[in-house]
Amino acid sequence: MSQTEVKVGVYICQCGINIAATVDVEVVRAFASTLDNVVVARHYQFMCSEPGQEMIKKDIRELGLNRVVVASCSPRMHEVTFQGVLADTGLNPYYFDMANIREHCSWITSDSAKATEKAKRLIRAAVARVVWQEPLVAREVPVKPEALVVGGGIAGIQAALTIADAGFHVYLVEREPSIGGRMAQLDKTFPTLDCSACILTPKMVSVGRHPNISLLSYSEVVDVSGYVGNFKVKVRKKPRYVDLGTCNGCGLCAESDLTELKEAKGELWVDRIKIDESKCSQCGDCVQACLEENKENQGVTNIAVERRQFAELPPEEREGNLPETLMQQIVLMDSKSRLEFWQRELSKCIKCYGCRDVCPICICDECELENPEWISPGEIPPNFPLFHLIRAYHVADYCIGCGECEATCPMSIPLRTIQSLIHRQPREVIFEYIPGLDVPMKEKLIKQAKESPVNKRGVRV
Amino acid sequence: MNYDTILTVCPFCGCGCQFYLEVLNKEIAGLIPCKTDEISEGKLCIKGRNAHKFVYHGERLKTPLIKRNGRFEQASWQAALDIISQKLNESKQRFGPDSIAFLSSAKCTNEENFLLMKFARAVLGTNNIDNCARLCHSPTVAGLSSSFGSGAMTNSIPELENADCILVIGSNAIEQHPLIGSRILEARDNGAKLIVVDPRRTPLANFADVYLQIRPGSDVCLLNGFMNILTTEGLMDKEFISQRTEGYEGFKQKIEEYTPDKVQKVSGVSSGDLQRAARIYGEAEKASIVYCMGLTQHTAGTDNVRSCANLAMLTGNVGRESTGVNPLRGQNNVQGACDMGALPNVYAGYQAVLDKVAKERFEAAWETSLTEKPGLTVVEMIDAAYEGFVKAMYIMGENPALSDPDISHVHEALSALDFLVVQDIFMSETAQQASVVLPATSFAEKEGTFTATDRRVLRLRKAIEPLGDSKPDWVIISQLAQSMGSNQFNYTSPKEIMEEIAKLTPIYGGISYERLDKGKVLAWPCLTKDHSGTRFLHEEAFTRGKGRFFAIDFKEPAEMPDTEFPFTLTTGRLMFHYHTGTMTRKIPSLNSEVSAGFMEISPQDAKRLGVGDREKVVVRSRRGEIQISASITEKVAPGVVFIPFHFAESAANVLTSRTLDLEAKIPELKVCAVNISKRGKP
Ligand code: SF4
Ligand code: SF4
Ligand code: SF4
Ligand code: SF4
Repeated sequence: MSQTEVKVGVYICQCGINIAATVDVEVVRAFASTLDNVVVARHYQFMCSEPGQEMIKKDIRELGLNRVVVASCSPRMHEVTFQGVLADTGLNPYYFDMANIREHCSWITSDSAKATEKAKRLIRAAVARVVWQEPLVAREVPVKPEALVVGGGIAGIQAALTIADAGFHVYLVEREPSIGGRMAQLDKTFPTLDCSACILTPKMVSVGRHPNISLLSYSEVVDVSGYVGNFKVKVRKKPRYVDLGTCNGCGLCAESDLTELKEAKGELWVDRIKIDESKCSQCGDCVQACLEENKENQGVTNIAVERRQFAELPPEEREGNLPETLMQQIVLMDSKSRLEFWQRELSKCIKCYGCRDVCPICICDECELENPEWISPGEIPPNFPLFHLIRAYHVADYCIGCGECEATCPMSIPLRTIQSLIHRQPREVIFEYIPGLDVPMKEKLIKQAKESPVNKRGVRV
Repeated sequence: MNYDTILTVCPFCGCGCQFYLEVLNKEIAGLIPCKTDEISEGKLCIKGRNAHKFVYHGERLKTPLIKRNGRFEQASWQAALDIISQKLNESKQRFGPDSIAFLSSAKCTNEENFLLMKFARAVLGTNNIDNCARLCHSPTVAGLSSSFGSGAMTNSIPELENADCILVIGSNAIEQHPLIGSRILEARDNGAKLIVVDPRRTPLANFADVYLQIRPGSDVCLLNGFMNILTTEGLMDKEFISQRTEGYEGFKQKIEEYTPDKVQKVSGVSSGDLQRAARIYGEAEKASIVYCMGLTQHTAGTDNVRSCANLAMLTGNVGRESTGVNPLRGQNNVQGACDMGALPNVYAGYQAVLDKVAKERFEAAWETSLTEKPGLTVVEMIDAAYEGFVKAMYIMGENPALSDPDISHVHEALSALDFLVVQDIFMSETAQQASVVLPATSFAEKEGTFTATDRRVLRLRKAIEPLGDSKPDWVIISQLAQSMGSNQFNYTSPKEIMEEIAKLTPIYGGISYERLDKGKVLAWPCLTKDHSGTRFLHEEAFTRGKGRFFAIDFKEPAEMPDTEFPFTLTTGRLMFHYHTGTMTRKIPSLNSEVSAGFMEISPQDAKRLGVGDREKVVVRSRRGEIQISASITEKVAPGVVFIPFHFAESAANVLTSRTLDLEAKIPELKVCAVNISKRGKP
């Protein structure tokens, strides 16, 4: 709309004495009527009253106003009121602006001159702005009447239950394998000394059974987009290697060696079971335990272990199970084929030192792998088996099983399996050698390394 | 504290692994592998893991240098650019545009290669521009273009994992393209059969189902014999041959001459092994050929490549997943340097300078007239410099004084020049001979793109500000062009250069920084902004229409061993170093692995000559001699010796010959005749 057609009406409210006692409304009115595009400017005792509203309507009809500015209280009080006035007369309600000369002006000073000056400025700004306003049309957008609650502690649980009881669907996302949060770790609650579990567990069960709640445990929110009423949320489910549909919570898997729940034995919630991937040593005990107890209703889906066939199980139960894990295969090998296996695997090594570089345990300033006394520089593959043996022994006591070494090895050598194997061995089997401490043994090994035929350049063993 | 990780690309080999540079308070603090990268999957080789370590090396060039009275003096950029524009103009006016020659770099970004070729063609008006691809894969470009119509790797790297058979010829993939080598081993673990053909027992050979230790330079004979067996045993794909290829009859007659017995005599490979290998390849459902420098650096380089193409077509192993003919490009951006037209006979995207339409397109875009006379190749440039036809050279990030054959000749040629500009990050052997040296930035200090060996375009990202006074190559070229009066080089970022490339280069038409930054894997041909790139080529039809069989005669290498020079020398690279070592030899963890050159010799020969392990010997060829220590190993067969070419102080390329493949103009770096004597004896 070009500015020449714009006709603005300005209405200054006295608000009883709330405004008029400080702001000289007549001066302001006179000022407003001089502003560009202003056709009419008036003041009145209460603009929000019926007569006040009528005054605006009349002017719109008779003077053909197409913009209205009301200088009065905060828009939080009466914006809707005045927009209604415009709408009643057929004007778009967004051709309206409000200058707050009460909370922002008359109430905060007793200096009449300053207040009057400020009121003028606020009105001048509102007039300047209203000229540029465009008509807006409200429309309806469908919303999803669903809620997402992030975090399954007691607060999240209660929020989810309240919303769900009100009839809305709730997604409850919890990053740990189980909901419950801190409260599940407490014994009594302050100040009544009520039993914490007695409050929490019924609510946890309600969440599990509530038809309006979808529980996403062991999951994390990775991305939120969209807008109010139509959010799009991406949730990553972490693998737990347990099929919650078939798992019956017997907890036998947890009794096997290295699952996270070892200590929590006997206090399991169905929802809590997961195999800790980083600690899995591929021993397969969890799957075996689950199979024995639950037969074909196996709940453990540990992929590292699934491929195995259980040497210990009677043959008829082995059927249908795929071949062993690498770990199983190696354990079952006789010593000659085991040596051949490792020779073959380790001869793939291109000596990138990646396994050492990423290992959280390998932190030495000077690494023995670069000591020419042990390992001939510049040779690929590096001396068998010293190169890998050195590292394996150095980290054996501390390896946290993170698997980074194996993940980063460009030749995909099963480096973590070496560690898993060492963990299975009692100390006698690994020559009682204590990494970093055993000096005589180190000398013996150096001597052996020097005499070893594999040390000659280019000759493969 | 300010910490950031920048995803960027490895500056070494053509695998194109991506990794993160860790930047702490504006300095590179470390390097982390990127687990989501399709190629590296969080794995890197030793060079990649240490790639950041040469960036801050004390010998980095940081100011422009001008040689006065035989000594380098520091100079301002203005002074350096002035003298360069003056000298280049002078040369152009006095001796014509073709008295100037440019060497572009396979280490620089696509944008920079594009700019240098634009500078050479549009500003100076010469097509004398080439890059080191001439010394590695020019036969690939020539050979595969004539057979298939496109001179690039046909399939992508990850596809190798699913092949049923992989035939590796003349490629030491585990050491030179580790992340491809690892895929080959992966394939083998998945049940694929592996055939390795190499005169040297490379690490990969130890995993081969069949290893053929071939006499250097007899590849055509061996491959013809291979195909002879396939046709006799009916293992060819008749339908594929009749529907998608031409020239089969003539080819068939030719290979009939190559019976297994004849091949055994010529190549030293037993006919039994050859038969076994041929059957494995012929019977495989998806067979892939992988080759590298061992095949191309010969006078018969182009013939060798065409033979591979013949083999793939004969068995219908092209245009499908996990098959194809796959040259492994050495430098991280040698593919890109060629794609960008840093070649004497083509513009960007392999549009021939002889093609009127292409010429007009570039003339219109650059508002100038271009010459249609194809330029000189690397070795020809050096010869022309030697003979005085080329007066001035501009070398961006290359080191011909160590990488080219017969380097004493190269030295003489470079000193015969009136004017030589070298743009590099270190004072290389070549830079020492320059009149002006311009300090460029390393990969960590600039933006751009690289194109990996399987045609994947990758984003290089800037991690730190240029060191000292150095500038990215694209800035240097733009400023030089501007100071020579061109108004065609007003770029504010490499992104704008890529936009120009996309406009002028159909195969790069759909490449843009926006798409790459969204993490898209785009391999050319990528024609439009909604084209998702091409993982393998020639699916429905060959780029040239029908695949073409070539009947190829076996020719002996140019220089055969004789009584005076009884050994065959073959050259190559090591795991721990890269080419002329300007970068890798400055990384302590790499240099401590191998710090000096050596010559591999078989135990039998060593015994005969009375040479002990690590003893210094003198190696002579018709061109020169070097001293080097012997390393006795069974990796090489009797009669053959191997020297890596990284080391200036015992440079293999003093010995090598510059006899060229007539078509691709590649010198025969892989075969020459030498003799060996103990030190102090003639
Ligand atoms: S698995 Fe053990 S040895 Fe491997 S990187 Fe982790 S801590 Fe180090
Ligand atoms: S623990 Fe051993 S292998 Fe690891 S960094 Fe130290 S010396 Fe090297
Ligand atoms: S990561 Fe793998 S290839 Fe690299 S040094 Fe370790 S074992 Fe060898
Ligand atoms: S394989 Fe090549 S690209 Fe990958 S890290 Fe090594 S040198 Fe770099």
